[in-house]
Amino acid sequence: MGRRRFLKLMSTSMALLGLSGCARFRAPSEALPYVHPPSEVMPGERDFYATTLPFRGYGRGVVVECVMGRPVKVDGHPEHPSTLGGSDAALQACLLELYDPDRLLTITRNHKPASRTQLEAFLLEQAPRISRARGEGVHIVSPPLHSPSLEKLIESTLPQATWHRVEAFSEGPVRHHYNLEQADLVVSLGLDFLGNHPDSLRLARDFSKRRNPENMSQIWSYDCRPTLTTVAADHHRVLTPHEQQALLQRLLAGNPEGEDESRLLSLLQQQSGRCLVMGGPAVDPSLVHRLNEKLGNLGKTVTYSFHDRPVGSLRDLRVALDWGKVEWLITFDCDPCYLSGDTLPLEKASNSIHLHHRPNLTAQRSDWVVPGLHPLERWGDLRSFDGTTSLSQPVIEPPAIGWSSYKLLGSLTGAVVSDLEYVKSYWTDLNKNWPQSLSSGIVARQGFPESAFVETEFLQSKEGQQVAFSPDPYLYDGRHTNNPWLLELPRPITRLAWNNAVIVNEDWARKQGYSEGDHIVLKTQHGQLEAPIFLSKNQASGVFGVSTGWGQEEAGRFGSGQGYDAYPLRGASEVSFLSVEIEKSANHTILISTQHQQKMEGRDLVRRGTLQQWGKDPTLDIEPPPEESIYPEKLESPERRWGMVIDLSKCIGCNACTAACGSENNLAVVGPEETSKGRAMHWLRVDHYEEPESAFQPVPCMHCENAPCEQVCPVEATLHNKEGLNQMIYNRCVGTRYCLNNCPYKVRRFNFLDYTHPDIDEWDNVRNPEVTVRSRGVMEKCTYCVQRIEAADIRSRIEERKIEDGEVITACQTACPTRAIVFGDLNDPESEVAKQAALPHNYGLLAELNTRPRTTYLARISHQESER
Amino acid sequence: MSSKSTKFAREAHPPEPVVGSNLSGADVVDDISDQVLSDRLGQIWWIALGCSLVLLTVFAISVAVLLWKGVGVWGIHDTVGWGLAITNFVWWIGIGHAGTFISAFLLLMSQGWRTSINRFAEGMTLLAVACAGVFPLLHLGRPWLFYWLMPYPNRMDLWPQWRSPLIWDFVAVSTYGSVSLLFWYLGLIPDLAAVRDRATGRKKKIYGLLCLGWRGSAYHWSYHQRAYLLLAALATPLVVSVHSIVSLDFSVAILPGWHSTIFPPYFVAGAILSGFAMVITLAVPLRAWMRLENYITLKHLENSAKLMLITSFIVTYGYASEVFFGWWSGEVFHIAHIEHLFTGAYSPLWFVVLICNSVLPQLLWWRKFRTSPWALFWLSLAVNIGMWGERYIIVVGTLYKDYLPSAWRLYHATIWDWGLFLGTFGLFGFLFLLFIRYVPVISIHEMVELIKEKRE
Repeated sequence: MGRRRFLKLMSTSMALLGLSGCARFRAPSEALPYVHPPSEVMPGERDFYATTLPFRGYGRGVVVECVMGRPVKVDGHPEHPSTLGGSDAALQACLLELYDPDRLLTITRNHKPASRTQLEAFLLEQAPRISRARGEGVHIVSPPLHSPSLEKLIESTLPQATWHRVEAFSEGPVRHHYNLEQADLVVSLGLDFLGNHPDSLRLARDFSKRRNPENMSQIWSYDCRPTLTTVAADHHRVLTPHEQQALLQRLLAGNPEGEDESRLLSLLQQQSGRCLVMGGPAVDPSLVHRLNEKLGNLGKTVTYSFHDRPVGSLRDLRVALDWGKVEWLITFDCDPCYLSGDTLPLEKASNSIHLHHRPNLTAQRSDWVVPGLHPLERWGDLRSFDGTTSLSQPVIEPPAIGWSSYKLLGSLTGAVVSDLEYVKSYWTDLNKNWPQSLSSGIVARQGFPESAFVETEFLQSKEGQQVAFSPDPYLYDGRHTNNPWLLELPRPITRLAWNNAVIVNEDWARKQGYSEGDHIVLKTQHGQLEAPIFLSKNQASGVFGVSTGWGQEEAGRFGSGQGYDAYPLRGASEVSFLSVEIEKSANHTILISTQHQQKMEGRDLVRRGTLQQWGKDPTLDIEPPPEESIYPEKLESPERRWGMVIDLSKCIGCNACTAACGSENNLAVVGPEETSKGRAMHWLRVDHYEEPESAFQPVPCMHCENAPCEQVCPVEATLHNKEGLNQMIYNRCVGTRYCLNNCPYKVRRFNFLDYTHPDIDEWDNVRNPEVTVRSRGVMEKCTYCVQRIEAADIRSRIEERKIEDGEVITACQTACPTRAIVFGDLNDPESEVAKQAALPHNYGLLAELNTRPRTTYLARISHQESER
Repeated sequence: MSSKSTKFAREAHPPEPVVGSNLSGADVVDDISDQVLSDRLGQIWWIALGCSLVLLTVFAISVAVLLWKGVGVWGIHDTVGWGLAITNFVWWIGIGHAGTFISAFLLLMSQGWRTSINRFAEGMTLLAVACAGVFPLLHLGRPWLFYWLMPYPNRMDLWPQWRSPLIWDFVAVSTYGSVSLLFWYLGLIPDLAAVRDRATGRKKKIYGLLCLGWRGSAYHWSYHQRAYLLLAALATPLVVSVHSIVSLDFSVAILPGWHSTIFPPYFVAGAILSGFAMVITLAVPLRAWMRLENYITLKHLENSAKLMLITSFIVTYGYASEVFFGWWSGEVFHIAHIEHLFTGAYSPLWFVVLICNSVLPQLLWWRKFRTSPWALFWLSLAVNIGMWGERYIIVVGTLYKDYLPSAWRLYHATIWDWGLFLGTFGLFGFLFLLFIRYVPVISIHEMVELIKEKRE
């Protein structure tokens, strides 16, 4: 081949490569951007699309940031009542599931690849029978989707079909709408409203509004396990499920036992109409309702709405399958086989079709498997917990092979349904302005109709040893199990990553001679399980906390085989507590954890004060460290001094900040082995301490003015810029790790190996083009999202103005559901961050080392002295 | 020049001569040259060389794996950023202190007894520094960019960051290495000439080239003596400076357990302790094997033992002051550090350190112990282990628990950590075996001078 011919071939193939690269990564032309008018994609410019993601059946409004047609960041929709701009970890990490290299992308029939034509032919053959039967014999299994258009589609085409809305942890037939802003006293009986609730983001925001010392509400919590709520509470007691119910009965009857309960009861009576009692799965909702009624809280701090469709019917599904009543089983967006501990006899259905975007156990058991769409690729509509309806639009061109649920459900009766056309016509028929609704995301603001309380049967948990089921904080019921961002993110309480453990009471374990990582065998009426244990003093003795979502075999290359699967312990019974027998096993596992020590060792790290103390002396005895130095004062930043304040009274420890940081700053996934070696790359970690008292403390880089890291770097790879940012210059770093050793906060992260995963092409798409991907052998750390600061700086200079307060928002700050993080210019006395930094109870972590940290904390103020 | 002190030494310890009594100058020249020119070491040398080659292969594999994959093959992590590599570096460089101390410091002090052990002690120093130098280079995340630590002219006008002790360290160690090499080679020139004069054939040519045209004229001797003394004067402060600066790598940092002003003298004393321990470890088997009892006498061993006793006291003082000032600071972090020393995960090693470096050297109070070579040999091994343990405690024992308990984490060295450490023994052994086979292991001209002085 001659030189010219070679060049010709090369250039042609490069051009073709370039073209093929464009193909998928564009939003379809029908999607309308949130901010910019629809136009062609501008290189380097970011488009923001509002859409809605499903979360436990409800819609959550989000804004997706796209670069060149690729979604690179997801945040809460500031105007959507379900998120109010905040996020949780799973929401932040959902992009990695969109770009999952293990996604289902082939139609299969009985595990053999089938063509689209074959599937269509099969459906066409079945359609006349299904239409004739008006859907009788069709069993639809889905999560409890509150989607008006999909509900209409199913009701109009398959009126006789049975619809099983499967949910691992359902809230019962009555929705409780809490008004935390109005409640001066909140009593939670085993309800983790901050961490494990369909409306947790909204509740967390309302909670944080009442966490300023000026108007602080009081929170009492009783739970059998440590949760975000028990850590956030002013007053917490560990109670078994049985004791929680007993306590509720005593409160209702007005005969409290002991000083503590009398105080609670008198407080409740004092605050009647301005207090709130919340009940978790261990207590009878009707008793809670009666107590709230007695205290005059109904309509004030709590209202109800009724589920028009029952939720939680795995048992019904199993019965129907056992009786051979199921002719067509349509499962979509859920994994009922896994949720029921693989107890569903799917083979008894004559025909089973499974639609999902990720591999799972139900797909293994079904006849037909149809690749589905990721929620970010869908058209649709969803109602949020408060009833607001918002639209979903694809933010990326879906894979050509992917089927929407509209299309599949329509084909059952032979109708050709386009998801876009169906949703659009549903809402334009209702005289909605389609382009505007789509652009803003929200289509209808009216909530669910208020209803009266409806009594239901309640199975009280028994006395004696209990196993308590709860969803994993990030993987939830197992739907996110192949998401490495979530697998690697340490759980808020246990700090475990890549694995789960049975949480047991510390004293109980000591008495039994168990230590952390020892295996125990749990035996219930449904099955048994061997798993390692994790010790906590905030776990009730005799209650064994298991978390779901782990131990899947079909999840994909990342999640398969990680942790243990708790579902076989409860089968299809959908309960939260079960009696259990415990046996010891000789096995031992070294748990993978990012924090091995949860005791504060007498160090003044999380400073605390009570409201009374704050009232007397707002400085809470916090003495600023002496500032004398024999060295001349360093030149202060002339224009701007960037700084951050983290309010420990508001932080609930959800780790959304860490997940957001990972998404924004291209943090590498290092895998279970490297995580177990202490090499997870999180720039921001949320430390959890159990002693002396439970607390969370987010620790990003402090951007010290006297940075110990800078003095020891031999090549000046870390240094200050003029605005006070402590910067890492990756390409200058030779990797001595001296800075890491000398950092008292241990926030520096080193690329011990090549963590960039060049073998996973899909992950190239999720990376933020504004942030360097770090190579092997260099140090990295929190930058205060310098790329956002620079973008604002460029904007402000073009417009010849100053950067406004609130114009630069760091990724962690955006994600924080409680707005505990504030960032800005400390030189601007009007800025929020300067005001908070000047508060008397502001302090610098380890400031006595004369590091002069720019990130400071507001001491955690609680309502009262805990008597522990 | 050194007659007075030699006399003094002889008077103080009449039974332990510095040189075997019946040796003449010519005997020495013949004897030592013959060691080099004929295969007197025999099969054992080849077996030893084979063993060292095996370890050298371990070294090569460990380096290759490290360079291919990155420092992640070691056990270090985001809490303990330095592990075995830096421990080994400090240990080896400490060993490398005895040679220059003996050659230069004792030369300036006119300690005639140094003569017969200085050559191999210098050789040991050079090789130990070479082994030490391996670690700071390879422990870099991107070792191919090590030269960025040097001030060299470049397009970007970038300089090293002079406040970092790593730069001082880089300069100190490379200076020490080059001065030691020069000093060793300069002392070697007349001896290489002596070997050349007795060699035949190809060997004659090689040694002829190596001795740089030495003819032994009075001018040569005069220049040589001056240069040797000057270099000794240059090298002597380096004995103190290198380990002082290595200690600053730690004491400049703000960590409790590192941030301590006692570190420079404490490190230097520790270096000399471990250096002399290594001298004894090597000298005792060597003198038996190579029949050097006439040159390396009990006198040498005893003097080395005395130096170990003194430095062991200084090191023990260092331990005591660390504990005392930890408590005296009244600060929670420092007090916790002391607690962790005695009760933490690495406390067993800490007690080994105390026994090996502080308790066992007390045996050296007994003259009988000091003059029994094999007893000294075993003690020196214990001190070598103790000094390695001390460095491990300083590096890992400090880092694994510092300010924030949330970041505390144990360190476990991996097979590649140990492989590289073991491999440096291969490197050391291989080069040392070549050295004793092909280079006069005792300084011929200085020995002859010593004998002549003794006769006078």
